[in-house]
Amino acid sequence: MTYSKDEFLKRLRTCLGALPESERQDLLEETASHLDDCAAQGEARLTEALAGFGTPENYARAFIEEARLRNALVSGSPGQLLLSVLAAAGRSVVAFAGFILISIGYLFAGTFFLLVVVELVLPAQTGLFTGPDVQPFALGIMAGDGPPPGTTEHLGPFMAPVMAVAGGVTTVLTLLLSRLVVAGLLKRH
Amino acid sequence: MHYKIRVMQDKDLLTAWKSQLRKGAAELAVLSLLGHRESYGLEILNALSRGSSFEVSEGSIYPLLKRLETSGKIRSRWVEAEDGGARRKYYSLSPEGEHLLGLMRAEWQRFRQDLSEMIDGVES
Repeated sequence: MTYSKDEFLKRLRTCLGALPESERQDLLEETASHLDDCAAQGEARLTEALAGFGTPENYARAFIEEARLRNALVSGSPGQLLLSVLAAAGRSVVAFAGFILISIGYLFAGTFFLLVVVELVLPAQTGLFTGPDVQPFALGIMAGDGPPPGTTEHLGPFMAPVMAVAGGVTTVLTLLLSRLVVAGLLKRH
Repeated sequence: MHYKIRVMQDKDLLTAWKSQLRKGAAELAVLSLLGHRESYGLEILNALSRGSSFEVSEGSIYPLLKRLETSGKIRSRWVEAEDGGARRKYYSLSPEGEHLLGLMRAEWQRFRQDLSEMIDGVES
């Protein structure tokens, strides 16, 4: 679909909604100034310029994706980092793979922390087990009647602290990974 | 048939290679232009379009300028038009950008010389 100058700017304003107001206003005014200059050179130049910008959606994405990655890196917030990678995942294999890896990382971290809580509530059924029925080992909760006969639990009273440390280390590593992915995506932009 | 496929592949390879070649070139071209004088988007685009190998458009020049500005290599200011027209956003090099331009220019000259010598050496 082809836009007129005003339609393009109106649509662009909507598409840039995620940017801070001042940045959006600045970009819109610069785009309008460019189109006005082209229009002054004739209809053909204006049409060429509008084609050059592409669709407002794509043009806006070039700024929003980058701003989102940048803000995420500055804030260091795990959620923002993850979301900014997810937003880029549709168009970048690196971002997609990164998103999967980061998600798995947090899933593991969450599981470790969950085991800390469960260990405090169900100490007998929670632990690191080995035995004839669990090969090569089982980490977690043996539901129902607890571990089958012949099973040994190895962590004992250390289960909760070990799981807390494992959760912490996994969280830090995953956060580090997400920062690396975001920084890498920014560099490729 | 085989020949046709070969031609297609060559065309694809050339396109991919050209895009690799261009990737860093537009950045150096913009910095070098701004090192020469302060300039606004359309003017930069027109200057770059004259050398047709850059293949820049509105859709790529402004994100590039934004990126350079965010990383502190260039800065911008709004200037009222003298003829009463629309305001324009002018870009200029920051000291950091000037430093980067110097490094990139030296690297480019070295690269161009090495490659020319290599190609000439092989072909003569």
